[in-house]
Amino acid sequence: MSAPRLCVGIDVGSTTVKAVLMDLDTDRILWRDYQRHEGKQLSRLLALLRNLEAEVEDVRPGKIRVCATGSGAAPLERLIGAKFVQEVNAVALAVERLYPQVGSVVELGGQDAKIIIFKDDPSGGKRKIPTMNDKCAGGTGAVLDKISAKLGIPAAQLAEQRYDGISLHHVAGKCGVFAETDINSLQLMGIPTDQLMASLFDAIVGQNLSVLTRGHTLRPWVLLLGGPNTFIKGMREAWRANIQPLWKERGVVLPEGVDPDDLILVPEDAQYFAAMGAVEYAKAEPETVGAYTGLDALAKYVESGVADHGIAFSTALSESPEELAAFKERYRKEPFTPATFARGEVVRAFLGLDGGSTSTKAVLLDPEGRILQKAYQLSKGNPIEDTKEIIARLRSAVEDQGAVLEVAGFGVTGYAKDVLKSAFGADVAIVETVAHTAAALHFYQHADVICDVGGQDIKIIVLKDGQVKDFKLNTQCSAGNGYFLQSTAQSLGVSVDDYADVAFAAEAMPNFSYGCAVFLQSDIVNFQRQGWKPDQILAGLAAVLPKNIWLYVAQIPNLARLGSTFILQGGTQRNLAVVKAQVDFIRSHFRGDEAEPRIIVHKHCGESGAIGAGLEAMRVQAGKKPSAFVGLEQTALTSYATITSNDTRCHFCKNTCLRTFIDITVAGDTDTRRLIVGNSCEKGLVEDVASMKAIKQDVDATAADTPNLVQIQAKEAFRSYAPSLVADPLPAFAFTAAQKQRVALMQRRSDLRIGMPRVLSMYSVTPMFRTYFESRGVRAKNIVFSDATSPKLYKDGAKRGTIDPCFPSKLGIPHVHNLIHVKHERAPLDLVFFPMIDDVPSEVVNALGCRICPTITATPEATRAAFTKEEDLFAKKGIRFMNTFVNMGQRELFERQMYLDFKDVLGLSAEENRQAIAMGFAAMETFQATMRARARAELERLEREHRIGIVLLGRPYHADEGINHSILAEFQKRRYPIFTPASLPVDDDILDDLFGDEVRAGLIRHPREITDVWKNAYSANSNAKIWAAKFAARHPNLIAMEVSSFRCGHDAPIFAAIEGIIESSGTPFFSFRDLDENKPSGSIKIRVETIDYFLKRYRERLVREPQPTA
Amino acid sequence: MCNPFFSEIPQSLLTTPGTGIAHPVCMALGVGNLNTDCGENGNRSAGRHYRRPVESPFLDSQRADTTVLFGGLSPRHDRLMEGVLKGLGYRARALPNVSLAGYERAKEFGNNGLCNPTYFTVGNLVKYVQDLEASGVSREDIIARHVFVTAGSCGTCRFGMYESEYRLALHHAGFDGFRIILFGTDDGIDQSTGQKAGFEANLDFFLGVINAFNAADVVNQFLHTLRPYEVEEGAVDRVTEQVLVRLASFFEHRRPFEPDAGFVGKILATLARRDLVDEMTAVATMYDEVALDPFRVKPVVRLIGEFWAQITEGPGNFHMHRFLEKEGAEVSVDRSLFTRLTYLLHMHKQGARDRKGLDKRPGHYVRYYKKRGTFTLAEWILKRENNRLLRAMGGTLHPMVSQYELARLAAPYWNWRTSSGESHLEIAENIYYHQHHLCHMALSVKPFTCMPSTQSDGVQAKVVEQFPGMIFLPIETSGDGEVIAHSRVQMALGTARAKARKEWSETLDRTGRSLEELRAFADDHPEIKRPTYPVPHHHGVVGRAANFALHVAELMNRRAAS
Repeated sequence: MSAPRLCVGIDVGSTTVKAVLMDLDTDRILWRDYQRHEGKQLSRLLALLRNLEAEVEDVRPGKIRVCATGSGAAPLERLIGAKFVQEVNAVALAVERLYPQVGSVVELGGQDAKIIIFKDDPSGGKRKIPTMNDKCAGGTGAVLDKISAKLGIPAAQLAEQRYDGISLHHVAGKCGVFAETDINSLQLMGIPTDQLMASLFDAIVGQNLSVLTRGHTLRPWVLLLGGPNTFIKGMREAWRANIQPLWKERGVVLPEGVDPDDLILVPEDAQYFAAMGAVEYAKAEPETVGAYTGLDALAKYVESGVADHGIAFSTALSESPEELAAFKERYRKEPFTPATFARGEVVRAFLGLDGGSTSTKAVLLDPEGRILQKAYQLSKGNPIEDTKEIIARLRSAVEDQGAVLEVAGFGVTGYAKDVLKSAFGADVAIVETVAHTAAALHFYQHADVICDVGGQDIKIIVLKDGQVKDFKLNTQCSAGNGYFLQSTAQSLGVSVDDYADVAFAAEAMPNFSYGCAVFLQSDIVNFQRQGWKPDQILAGLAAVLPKNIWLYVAQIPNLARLGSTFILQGGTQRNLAVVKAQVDFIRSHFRGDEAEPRIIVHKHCGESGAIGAGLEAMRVQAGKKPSAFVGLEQTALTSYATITSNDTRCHFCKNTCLRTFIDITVAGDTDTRRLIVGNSCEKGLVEDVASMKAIKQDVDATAADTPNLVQIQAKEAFRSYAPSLVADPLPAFAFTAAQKQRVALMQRRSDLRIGMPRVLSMYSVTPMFRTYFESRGVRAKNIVFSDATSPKLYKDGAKRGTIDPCFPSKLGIPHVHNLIHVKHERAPLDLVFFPMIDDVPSEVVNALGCRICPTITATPEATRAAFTKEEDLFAKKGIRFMNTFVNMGQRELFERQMYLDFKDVLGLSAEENRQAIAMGFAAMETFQATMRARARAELERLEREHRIGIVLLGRPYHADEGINHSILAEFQKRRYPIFTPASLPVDDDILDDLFGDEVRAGLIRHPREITDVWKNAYSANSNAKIWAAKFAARHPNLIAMEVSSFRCGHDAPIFAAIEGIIESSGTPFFSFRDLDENKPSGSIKIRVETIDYFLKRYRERLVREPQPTA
Repeated sequence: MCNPFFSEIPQSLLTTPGTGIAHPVCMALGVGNLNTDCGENGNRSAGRHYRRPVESPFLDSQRADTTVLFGGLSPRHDRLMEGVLKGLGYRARALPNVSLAGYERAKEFGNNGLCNPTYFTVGNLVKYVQDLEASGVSREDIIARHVFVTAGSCGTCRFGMYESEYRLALHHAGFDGFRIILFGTDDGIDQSTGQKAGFEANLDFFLGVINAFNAADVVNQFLHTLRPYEVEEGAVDRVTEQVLVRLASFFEHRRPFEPDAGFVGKILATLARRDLVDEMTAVATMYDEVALDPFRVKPVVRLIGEFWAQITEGPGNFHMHRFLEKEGAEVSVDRSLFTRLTYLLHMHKQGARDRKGLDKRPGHYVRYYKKRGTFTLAEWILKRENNRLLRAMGGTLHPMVSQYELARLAAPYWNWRTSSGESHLEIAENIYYHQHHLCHMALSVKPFTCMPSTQSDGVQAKVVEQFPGMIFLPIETSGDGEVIAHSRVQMALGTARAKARKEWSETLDRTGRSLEELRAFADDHPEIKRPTYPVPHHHGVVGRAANFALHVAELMNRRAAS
């Protein structure tokens, strides 16, 4: 029998299956198909191959060969005899045959993103540099799919969605969850969908350019492959718009006579490249490889279900049908019976509305707080539109009975509360946490824990005797939230309403690892590959949700610590599969004194936020004031128009926020009210300069009155301390070459221009280095710092990045990029100085060490590599890059290190160097003393006025507003002064007041010691943070706020110690952890407002209490 | 003064003025959990402040009925370490290999955001004691009769803070008071109880550990070079199991040093003894029973990266050793612990040189040269001991690479002073193994959020750019995402496989003989297929099959010439 000359190439991706039948001799494609599999990878493939067998007679066992690629292809080796080919290798093979001139390939798949760069090899031929995303699916087609589905964009419309000419907003591309959060916030501000999608394209392209290229330049020609690139016009435009400036910046020589746009192309059959590459692979293999064995084994596998999980798994969500039946009986939802009204009755009610992230909920309450009517609807994308519809439904529910609805008060909550308050005249807009607490306590006075799981947020409120003791909110990551479950169900072809029944039917489920929704997404693909079915995956996802809530967000392994009565509420907990998992988890993690937890599902689970808003409206309107509500008629007739363009851009500061104007008109009115959203500060709330000036005056007055030492540190760290010039005089005689060189270098000092990046430890040690240079004759104006961190600065420079460490470290490259491409272009820099700081003088006494984290220490080295990889950009620009390794905590060694590196740059003598270091340390002392004096004055004022100050428990770089996302500034605006660890006063009287008793009791040897709370005190900044926590824990007017960046290896080990220190003392403690490059405005806003509310109540007690006598 | 914050809030505040309606939100947001116990000076009371957990000592008097637990290295290192500890008179037990179940426990009971060595190793201990309790041992007994011994460091990465993490996770799991005993990698035992410590990190202990790790390193390397070529599947593992039983028994029953031998005497005795060398010679004989097929063409993948991620075998690094072998590769592993020790010596020695002359006290130079001399001697001893075992195993393994050579290779890219983690080692090894044609590809495994390792990866991008033909892939390891990680490895392995095949094809052409001819000759001379037969490494040739083919051809040519 002759060898088979036909080969099937199969590509089983995370969302689609593709197959081609090719003639191995002619490379002709004889047949092809492409289908979405909706989670049923193998059954869809089976159907596809059956079609192929039906259509082509030769497709029979032994007659053809088959090679398979893609994330779901591995099992096909044993099921149909297919040879497995890794997908990047498959794509590369296809490209090499079909487009040999190509310099780079970008393939975006459902879960994967791949880039292949072809470079000329010195030994001849081409060298291939492939990269592929790791387990994180940020920046891939899955994000596009999910968000376009959420925005309700049909596939045909998505395909035509443009990028060019569309206004862009900042959307985080790093992570699908972050992107979704940003899109959600923008959507709720009324940003039109075309701008949302174009912004998402930009984010995805930016993410791939900044991480996946690993700093390589995408060389022309660039081939765009994969579903999103193939089918979406805007994606192609986004690539073109982002790649071409890089070519220009990096001096890439383009082929002459070709339009640069044409160098970035989508080839014919782009979606089949991996499948064709698999066939290409077959050519180089012996003809026995990939012999097709037919479909019987595949059919049997598909029909029999899960045969080989290959991973740990659990049995079903319930132990037995009886147990499930008992659960269902116990948690059977009480049907809600809406109130009925008499004809002509005037129904006076309070309207509560929750404009949530994924849905809008509303209730009507009678004056006794009873629920008359309620309504729920999934968001259609615009909160104003959603609100109009839902109010109309409530109104109909009353008026259809012949009664008349009179709204006595209107309260709003949720992401959209501010827009809705302005648009419809709500009497009150309250933060969600407060609304949910109120709603829970209205029905369940003895609640100990309220667990609210909405579409986007998880909120846990811990109560004691009816008072809030603590609360936990998910940070920027909405891992395992309601919307994730909903969208996954939909992608698996299951409606949300059927979720529980489907999940309960599963007899086994895979064990998902909790923590991150994107990783869960990856796990889903993995499990599908292993043969898990949709019902089993949905059961597994329900089961992992409680872990995300209690272990990831709340971080409480023993739930008995919180109390015994748990109230579950929020729309997600209408899903009984979720409730079952929650109940089982809470019980199994309730390790108390033989007590059983009481777990109640709120009877108005989905509407609790709206109920809370209604109750608040009732409270503020009680008995008197007319409501500010615009009225039912006016609501129905309200129309609006949104405008976002360069004309709406704010020019009142350098951020130049792209704002959106929402013009609201009520029919019959001549006036249009304008709401402005998308601004990042108060100045952007207005359009004219005079109004802006008034706002600014107000903001400045608050800032002047309420010091924010975070901002002060950010400013003081980089200013000149104007040291006296004490350089050696020029030698009178210079005979030797060395002497002559020194004279030349000394003469050059005054003209030397030195750039330093405004990053990392530079926020605490720059006075040293600045003074070092200035005292030797370098002019103050010639010491140049990179600009403050901004999204633009990051975006411009991050594309050279090759790794994905913490965001503060990632900023090293963009800041040096800013020095080279902005500062140097303005006036040439001679050198860029980015020291590798290994240790610093210890502020804490008796510590084991004062090291800086290795990520920070090594950042200058990784930064240098990024700019010298493809070519030495520093050399090209005539800049010397110096990353002197310094041990500032070991003074003599530090002196030597600086001398060795700078003697031949500045022409230093050893004595000059020593003096410069001494002056640098003196400047450091002045820097710290300035901040401490300011802090002391403010502390005394707080004590006098019985006010509260916030101690930031963070690292020096958290003074960077680009890293702290202006969270601290938000509290300053609310008149809380902010202290940093470095600013806390260390005067003897204060230390004695706070620590004296403990020193005298022998618990510590020195007030500035942390051995009593933390043993492994090696890290200087961790030590400072821990000491600051001790300070805050002992000072009655201070509360603590921890900020921590995602991936911080030094923060993670001390989380529990910090919490222990603060919470043991009864000091209020709040944390913003996992800060990253994106700014989760919505989540930050909820937290800031909640904390503010909490602290106001806290302060009220201080003010009302009789003042102590001295 | 007593701070007014801590008094009860008046109910009048909690009603809406003018209505008398109790406000649930105000009710709710009154502040609870406050410390109302005010100190003498009006500040929050010292009595209620947090203190770190009290550490219970492990005393000599408790030694007889206390089990010393340890673990976290490769199964082979743990087995031999157990033998050493038993030989020193401890009731010792190595923890089982790390597992995903343990990883989940650490996530549940520990801090968030840790690296995966922490999660796996901490969770492994928690799981062990929980399983022990589930098997019927009382919690009190577990706490009273077990201690966990682990290494510590003053490094900048969180490894120096593991100790606290063990305690925290055990506390959350309900095992307060469980003893964690720390011996520093460079500080010696960390105990101050006033009584004789139950665990002594003395010279006997360190020499025992060094010898055991030396043997485990060599066995570890050796078996990885053999397994891909074994004719009978499982043969190498079977022999290795027998080898480990033998070596563990050897260390348990090894003749102790003379009690009054003193420091110098014990060092000299270590240098003079041949019992371990003889033991390894016997081990080599055991391995020689394994039949190999050296003509299998396989890419050689050098595993580099963070120390623990390299050495662990299992979910901690996505089962990378086995996965690579399943995908048709030969895995080249490091002499991890010996490399680590020589690395530390090198760092200390160079650090001392940086500080030379800074100390102005009398006798500084004497102290400096004494320190350098001690480090140099230690380096020499380690190298000598390792070479002795390599020779005993037939001299088939590549000798330990000089730390000076590694530092020199990394210098253009990475400042060696950036300590912690593996810093310049990763870069240097990538270059060394590429330049010396010892691997087709380097795979760097680094734990999620590993601080030093992530940064060196940024520099590797430049290294790869400057060494054409180098195949390098970094993989971030964690408890999940194994499938995608494997896919990325397959991606790079595809290129490495092609490189190995090309090398094979060119080599075969170079021999001028067919595979069948070469195979026939090898079959006629089975001694050259023995695992301990030293096939010469030919310049520019990486693969075992290619080197073997060249050697066989040379032998055939020699035979023909004679």
